[in-house]
Amino acid sequence: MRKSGLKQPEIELSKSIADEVKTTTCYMCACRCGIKVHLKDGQVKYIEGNRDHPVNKGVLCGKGAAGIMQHYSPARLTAPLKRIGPRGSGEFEEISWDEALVLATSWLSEIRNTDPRKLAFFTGRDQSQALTGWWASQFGTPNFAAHGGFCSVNMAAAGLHTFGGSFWEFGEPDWDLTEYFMLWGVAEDHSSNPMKRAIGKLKNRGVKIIVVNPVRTGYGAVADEWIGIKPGTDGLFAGALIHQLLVNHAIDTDYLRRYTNASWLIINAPGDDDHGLVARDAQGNPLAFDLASNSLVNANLKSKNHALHGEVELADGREACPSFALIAERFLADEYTPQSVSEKTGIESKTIIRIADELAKTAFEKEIRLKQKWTDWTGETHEEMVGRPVSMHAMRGISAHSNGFNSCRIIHYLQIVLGAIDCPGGFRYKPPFPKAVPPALRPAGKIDDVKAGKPLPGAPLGFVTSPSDLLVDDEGDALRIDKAYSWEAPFSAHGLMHMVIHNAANHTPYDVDLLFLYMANMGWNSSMDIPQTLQNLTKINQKTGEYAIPRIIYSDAYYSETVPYADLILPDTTYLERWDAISLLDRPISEPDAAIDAIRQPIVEPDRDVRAFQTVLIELGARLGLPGMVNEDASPKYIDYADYLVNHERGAGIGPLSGWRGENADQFAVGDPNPDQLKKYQENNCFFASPVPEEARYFKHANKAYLEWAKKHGFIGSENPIIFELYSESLQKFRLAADEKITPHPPAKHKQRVATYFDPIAFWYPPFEDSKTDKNTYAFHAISQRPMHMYHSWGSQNAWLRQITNANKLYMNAERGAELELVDDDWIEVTSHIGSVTCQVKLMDGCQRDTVWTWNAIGKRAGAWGLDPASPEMRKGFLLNHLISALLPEKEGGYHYSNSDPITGQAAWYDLKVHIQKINSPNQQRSEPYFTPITAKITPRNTS
Amino acid sequence: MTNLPSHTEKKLGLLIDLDICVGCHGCVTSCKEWNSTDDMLPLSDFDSYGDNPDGVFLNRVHGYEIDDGISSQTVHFPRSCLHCETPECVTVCPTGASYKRQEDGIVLVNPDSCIGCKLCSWACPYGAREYDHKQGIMKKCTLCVDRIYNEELAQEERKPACVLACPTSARLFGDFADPESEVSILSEKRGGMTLMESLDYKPVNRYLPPREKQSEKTENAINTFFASENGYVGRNQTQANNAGLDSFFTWLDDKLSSKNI
Amino acid sequence: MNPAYSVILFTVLSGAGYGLLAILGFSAVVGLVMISPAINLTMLVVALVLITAGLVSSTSHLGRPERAWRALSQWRTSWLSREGVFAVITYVPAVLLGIVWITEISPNLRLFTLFNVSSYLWVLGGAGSILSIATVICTGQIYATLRTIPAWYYLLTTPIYLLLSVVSGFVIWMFLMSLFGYKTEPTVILMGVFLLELALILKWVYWRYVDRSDFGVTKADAIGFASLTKVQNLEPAHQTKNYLMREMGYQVARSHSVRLRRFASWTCFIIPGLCLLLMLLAPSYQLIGNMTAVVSLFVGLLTERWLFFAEAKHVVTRYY
Ligand SMILES: Nc1nc2c(c(=O)[nH]1)N[C@H]1C(S)=C(S)[C@@H](COP(=O)(O)OP(=O)(O)OC[C@H]3O[C@@H](n4cnc5c(=O)[nH]c(N)nc54)[C@H](O)[C@@H]3O)O[C@H]1N2
Ligand SMILES: Nc1nc2c(c(=O)[nH]1)N[C@H]1C(S)=C(S)[C@@H](COP(=O)(O)OP(=O)(O)OC[C@H]3O[C@@H](n4cnc5c(=O)[nH]c(N)nc54)[C@H](O)[C@@H]3O)O[C@H]1N2
Ligand code: SF4
Ligand code: SF4
Ligand code: SF4
Ligand code: SF4
Ligand code: SF4
Ligand SMILES: [Mo]
Repeated sequence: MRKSGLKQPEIELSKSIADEVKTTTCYMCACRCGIKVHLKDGQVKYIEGNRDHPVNKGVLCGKGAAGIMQHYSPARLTAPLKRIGPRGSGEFEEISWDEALVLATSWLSEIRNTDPRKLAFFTGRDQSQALTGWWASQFGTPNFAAHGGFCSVNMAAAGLHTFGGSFWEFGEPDWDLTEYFMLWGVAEDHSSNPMKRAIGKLKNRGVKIIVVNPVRTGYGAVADEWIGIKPGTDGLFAGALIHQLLVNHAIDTDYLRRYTNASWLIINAPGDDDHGLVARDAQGNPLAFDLASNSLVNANLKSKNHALHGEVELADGREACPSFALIAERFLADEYTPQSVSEKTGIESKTIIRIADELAKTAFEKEIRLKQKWTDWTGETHEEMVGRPVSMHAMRGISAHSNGFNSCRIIHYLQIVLGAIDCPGGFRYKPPFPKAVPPALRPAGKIDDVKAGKPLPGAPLGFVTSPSDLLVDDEGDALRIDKAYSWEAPFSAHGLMHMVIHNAANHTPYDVDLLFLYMANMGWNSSMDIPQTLQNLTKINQKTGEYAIPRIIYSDAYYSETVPYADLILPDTTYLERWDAISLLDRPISEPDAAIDAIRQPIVEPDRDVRAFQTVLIELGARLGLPGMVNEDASPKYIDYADYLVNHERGAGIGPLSGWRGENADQFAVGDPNPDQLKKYQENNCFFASPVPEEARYFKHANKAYLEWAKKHGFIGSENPIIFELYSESLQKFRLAADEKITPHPPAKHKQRVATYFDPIAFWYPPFEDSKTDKNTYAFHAISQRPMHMYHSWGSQNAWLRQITNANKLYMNAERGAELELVDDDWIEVTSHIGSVTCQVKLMDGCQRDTVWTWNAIGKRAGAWGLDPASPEMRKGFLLNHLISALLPEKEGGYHYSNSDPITGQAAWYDLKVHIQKINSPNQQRSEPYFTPITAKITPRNTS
Repeated sequence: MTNLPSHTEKKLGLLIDLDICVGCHGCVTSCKEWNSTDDMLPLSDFDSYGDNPDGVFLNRVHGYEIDDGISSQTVHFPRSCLHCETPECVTVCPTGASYKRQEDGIVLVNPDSCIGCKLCSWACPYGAREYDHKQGIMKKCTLCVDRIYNEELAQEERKPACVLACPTSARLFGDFADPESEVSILSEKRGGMTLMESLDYKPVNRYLPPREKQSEKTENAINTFFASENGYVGRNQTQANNAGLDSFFTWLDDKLSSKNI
Repeated sequence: MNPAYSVILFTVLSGAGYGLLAILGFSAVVGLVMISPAINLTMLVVALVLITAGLVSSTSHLGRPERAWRALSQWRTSWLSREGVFAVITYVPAVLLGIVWITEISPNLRLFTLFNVSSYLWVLGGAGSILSIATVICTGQIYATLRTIPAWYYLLTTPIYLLLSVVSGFVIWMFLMSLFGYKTEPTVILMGVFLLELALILKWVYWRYVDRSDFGVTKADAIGFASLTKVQNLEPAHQTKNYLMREMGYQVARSHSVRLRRFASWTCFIIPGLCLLLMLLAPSYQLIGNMTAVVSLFVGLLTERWLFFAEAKHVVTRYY
C-alpha cells in the first residue's frame, strides 16, 4: 500500500508576511515585554517576542500573542463622548476634541481656583504615574493615587519599610544561582514572562520549587511541593519557619549584625515617651552594645562584636536590649511553634519542620562563594561574595489580606535571618532599588499644602515615618478623600483607590466636585461591592439635587462597564498607537544587573478620533496654565507626550528617560535633554540598559561601589548604607501616639486599633473578616486567581482569548464538595455578609479544604466590551466582587473601617468569607446577580 | 498522495515537557497568530463577539488533575498534530490533499485540493484536525513548515511559532530520526511518552512526563545537616518554650563570643 | 459522532438505490422475471434517482463541493475515494442498461445497429450489480476501518451496510412490481422477510457489541501516561463548543438511544416484515402492504443510521 516517490505539492516555504517590522513594548499586561510588530499595508499583521529584549528574551505569553485582536477590538472608543442621558444609561453624544478639552478645562479650572482638593484624580495600571502624579501636584490636589492601594501596596510598603526594596519591579530571585525557591501567593504576577522563563530554568536545573498557595494550578502544578495553606495564615507559617531556624540556630548572625538593625538597642522603659524607640547617642546615632569593649557604641560603625541580646544599661540608667532579642523572643514563643500553627495554617507540623531544615541546609551548606572582590560601605574589602541560595517571591496571596503588611514583613524576616537578601543565590534588588528604609519622600497634602491656584509643595504620595507625617486635620480626621495617610491607613503609600467612589458619594470626609479616572474599571471589577458602587456613582445629593459626585471624567480606550457612568469620556489610543515611557522615575523594567527603562512608540496611526491620554493631560495642564506645563508667555511647554518625554526635567538633568542624555547622547540618567533621544530608543529596540558595575552587583544596600554608582545616577540621595529595619521605629511611634506619648494622637475611636496593629516587630493576626464574621455560617475563604491568558477585564473583548475562557465556575475541594453533596456544574448560591452570587461549581483535588476560588474578572456586565449581551461572560460568568464589602462588618464602637489593611489601607480582597448552598431549582440557568444591561447609545457628531 | 512515504528522511516534531508547562496558552495564541498571517487563508473565527464564540486553533492546552494512587497533581497538556508515522488521517483522504512529506515527515493539508469531507478529522485520534467552515477546508498544525525553512527569517527564528513563544521552554522542536538531536536525547533520557500507543499511528511528537517531585526527597539529607560542622547548625529541639529562648540565647552568646572576641 | 443529515440521507437513499440497481442487474443476468422493458426502465430510473439524490445530498456535506471530482483520485488508499470511483463507474452499465431498455421499447431508436445489444444484457446487468455492491461495500468500509471509532471499527459494519442496502432495494423492487400489477411470488416475499429479519439479528448483535465496545484507550493513554488511577478534567482548552466537540463529541442520552433502537427495530425490520407476511396472507392488500413496508422501512433506516452516528464515540472525547 505504501509507495515512495510521491509527488508532493509545491508549497511556499519562504513567505514574507510583512513589508515593515517595528519594535515596541507590549501592553497586554503590565509585564512590558519587548515585541516586534509586523505590518503589511499599514495593518498590524503579526506580533512576536523580541529576542533582544531584556524582559522576555523573545518569548510571548498567551495575551501578548493575541495583541492584534485587542488592537482591532470592536469595543474601541472612537471619539470623545459627552453624556446626554442619565448616568449609567450609556446615552452619549460624540463631541470634538476641542469641545471636550474646553469642557474639561472649565470644570478643572473652577476647582483649581477655589479648592484644588475638590479634584480627585485616580489612575489605574497605566505606568505613567511619574506624569500623572506630577500633574496632580502641579494642579494642587493631594487627592491623587494610582491602583497600588487596591493592588499590592502591602508588599511595596512592607518591603520598603523593611529592607528598602520589594518584590516584582523592586527585585527578583537570583534565578541563575538560587537553589531553593519559595513562591508565596502568586498565580501570575506582574513579572509574567520572566517568572515563567525562570521557572522553566529552575526545573531544568533541578532546583526545588515550593508553592505556598491554597490552590494548585499554574505554577503550583509544576512545583515540587505544593503547600495548600489556609488563606490569610502565611505570616504564621513564615513565623513558624523562623521559629524553627532559631531553634536550630540556623541563622546568619554575621549578616544580621552587618546589614540590619538587629543590634540596635531598644529602650525598655514602659510609660516613658521614648519607650520602644532606638537608643541613640547625642548625634542621633543608634547605639549598640559592644561585647569586646563592654560599652555602648555607635551601631552604625558596624562590628562583629555587637550584642544581639542581653539587657544593657543606658547612660541615663534605663534599660535597653538589642532589637534582635525582642524578635527572637517573639518568634520563639509558643504561638509560632510548628505544632501550634499547624491547625490554623492547615500545614502539618512535620512539613514545617522539614521545610525549615531544607531552607537552613540550602542556605548554609550550599553556601555560594563568588570570587568577586568588593568593598562595603565601611571600607572593608571582601575577597568573595558569600551567597545563601534561598530565594522567595510573594504577591497578592499575601498582600490582599488585612494582615498582609505584617505577613509580608515576616517573609522578609525569613529571608533576612537566612542572610538571603541581595547575595548570590538570594533575592536581588533591581536598580533604582534599594532605597532608604523607607524612601525619603513624605506625602504632601497637609492643610497648608493645599492652596487655591497653587501647586502642592511636594508629591501627593510618599512614605510616613511618624504620626507628624500624617495628612490629618486638627481633629485627626482625614485630609484626603480616600483617607490615605490618616489614622485609618497611616502607611498607605499608594492611596486607597478602592475607597474613592464610596467616600466621595457619601461625603466622607468631604465632597469632591470632580472625579477624574484613568484606565481603571471602577464601575466593575476593581470595586468592592459593585451594586453599592453603582449606586454611589448615580447617587443624588439631596441638598443639591445633583449627583453626589457631581462630575466624572474618564479615560478608557474601550467601552468598559465604567464608561456609561462618566460625564465626559476622553478616548485613549491602543498601546500600538502611542508613545509611552516605562521610566526609572516610575515603575521601570530593570534587572538586578542593569538599570533599564523603555518606551512604547506609535506603530500605527489611530484610525479613530482618539488621542493618547498623556498628551491630552499635558494639553489640559497647558490650558490650565499649570506650572511646568506652560512657558513664561503662557504658551504650552510641550507639544505632546513625546516632547515631554524628551524635554521635561524633574530635577537638574533628570528626565523621564535615562538613556542617551546629554548633547552627545552619552550620558546615562543625569544629563541634558537630547532632542534625538527617542530616535535612539527606537533604534535600540525601544529600551535602554545601563549595566551595574561588576563589583556592585550584590550587597547593593551595603556595597560602596553600588551606593556610589546609584548616587551618581540620582537613584539615591546619599551614599549611606541601607540598613534593614527588622525592628521598625516608625511603627512604634504610632503606638506611642496611641498611648498619647507623642503627638499628634489618634482620635479616641482609633486608639485601640493603632495600638494593636502598629507593632514594631511584625506579627500575625487573623484577617479581619475572618474574626468578625461567624465561622460556622461563613465557613469558606473565597479568593480569586488571575488566569494567565486574561488581563483583568480587558481580555474578554479579545476574539481569541475569550474562546479559551468566557465563563467561570467556583472551584472547591472535591472531598468537601462531596460532603455538601455537590457535583460538577451544580448551581450554588454563595453568600457573604453583604450579598450573594449564584454560579456553577467545579470540584477539584488541588484546593485547600476551607477555600473556594474562581478566575478573576471573567464575569462581565451585559452591554459592555462590544459583546453580545447573551454572551457566556454575562450568563455564566460572575465576580466575587459583588460579595466583597467595602467596609468591615461593624464590631465595637459602631465604626465601619474600610475593608483594608489597618497599616497600609491595602484592599483586603482575599479576606472574603462565604457560605455555600446548593440550588435545587432545575430552572437555574444563569449566574446572578444579573445587572440590567448597559447600552452604548451614541449620537454621532454630524447629526447632533 | 494519500500513500504514505515508506520512510521519511527526517522525523521532525515537537517534544513537549509536561514537567514545566504551566498552561499559559502562549503557544495557543502564537500558533493562531502565525497561522492567520495569510490573508487568504487565516484560521477563521466564528461568532467572535457573540454568545457562542468559536474558531479554528491548531494547538490547544487542557488542564487535568491526575492521580497515580499515591498522590495527585495538576498537569497542563498542550495538544496539536503529532505528525504520526502511520497516520490514517492521510490514507483516508479521498483527494490527496492530506499528505505526509517524504523529506521531513510533516503531515500537511493542501488547501487547494481539500474538499472539506472531514474524513481525516474522523481518522485522527488526537483531535489535531480542525475544520474551517468559513473556507470549507480542513486545517491542522503545519509544524510551521513556512517558518522552519523560511529564508526570509533569521536562522534562530526558523522554528515553530509556538516553540519560540513558549515562555517556559516547555516546547522543543527537532528531528526525532536523528539520535543525536536534542529532542531524541531528552526524550530518551526522560522517558518521552507516546500518546495512545495502542492505536499504532506511531506519533512522532513526544511528551516528557513530569519529573519526580522533590517534595520529600530531602528528608534524608536533613540528618547530615544536623551533623554538619560548619557552626550554624545542630538541632536540639523542635519545640520551643522559654527553655527554647534560653537555649537560643546561650547559643548566641557562645557563638558571638567564641568567634569574634 | 455528529449525525449529519446529509450523510444519513446519502447512505439511506443511495443505499436503497444501489440495492435496487443490484437487483435489477441481477434479474437481468438471470432473466428471473422477464418483465417489460418499460417497467425495467422505470425501475432503473427510480434506482438512479435514489442514487443520485443520495450522492447530491452527500456533496452538501462537503466544504468545497465544486471540487468533489478530486475525490476520485486516491482509490489506492482511501475507501471514500473508492466509493466515489465505484459510484461513478456504476453509472456506466446503469446508463447502458437504460439505453438497451429504451431501444427495446422503441426499436426505431435503435442506436446500436452494429450488433444486438440485448444479448449483452447480462453483462451490463452483472456489472451494474457488482459495481453497486462494491460501492456499498466501500461505503461500509469507510466506517469499518476507522480505528478511532470503536463502534464502527467492527466486522459487521460493512455486512450490515450491504444487507440494509440490498433489503431496502428489495422492498422497493417488490413495491414497484406490485405497483405495476405484478403479483409477487411467495418465495420472493419470504426471501424479503428472511433478509429483513437477518438484518434485524445482525443489528441486534451490533448493538450488543456497541454497548460493550470500548476504546481500549483510557484518558491516561490519551495524555501518554501508562497508568494512572484518575485523570480528571480541570480546565477545558476552550469553553464553548468547537468543531471537535460538535463533530466528535456528540452524545445521545442512553435512555433516548434505547427508545430509538426499539423504534428502529420496529420500523426498520419488524413492521416491514409483518407487512410482507400480510401480503402473503392477504394478496389483495399487496400494494398497500408493500407501500407501508417501504415507508416504515425508510423511517426505520433513517433512525438506524442516525443512531449509527449518534451512538458512536470518537476516541478524541478522551481529551474532553
Ligand atoms: N495574566 C494576567 N497577569 C496579571 C494580571 C492579570 O489580570 N492577568 N494582573 C496583574 C496585576 S494588576 C497584579 S496585582 C498581579 C497579581 O499577580 P498575583 O499575585 O499572581 O495575583 P493573583 O492572581 O491575585 O494571585 C494570588 C494567588 O494567591 C493565592 N492566594 C490567595 N490567598 C492566599 C493566601 O492567603 N496565602 C497564599 N499563600 N496564597 C493565597 C491565590 O490562590 C492566587 O494563586 O498580576 C498582574 N499580572
Ligand atoms: N475580586 C477581585 N477583585 C480585584 C482583584 C482580585 O484579585 N480579585 N484584583 C484587584 C487588582 S490587584 C487590580 S490591579 C484591579 C484591576 O482592576 P482595573 O484596574 O479596573 O483593571 P481593568 O479591568 O483592566 O480595567 C482597566 C481599564 O483600563 C482600560 N484600558 C485598557 N487599555 C487602556 C488604554 O490603553 N488606555 C486607557 N485609557 N484605558 C485602557 C480598560 O478598558 C479597563 O476599562 O482589580 C482589583 N480587583
Ligand atoms: S507577559 Fe504577555 S501580555 Fe504581558 S507584556 Fe509580556 S507578552 Fe505582553
Ligand atoms: S496527529 Fe492526527 S492529524 Fe496529525 S498525523 Fe497523527 S493522525 Fe494525522
Ligand atoms: S477534509 Fe480535506 S484533507 Fe481531510 S480527508 Fe477530506 S479532502 Fe482530505
Ligand atoms: S508547530 Fe506551528 S502550526 Fe504547529 S502547533 Fe506549533 S505554531 Fe501551531
Ligand atoms: S506556551 Fe509553553 S508553558 Fe505555555 S501552555 Fe504552551 S507549552 Fe505550556
Ligand atoms: Mo493589581
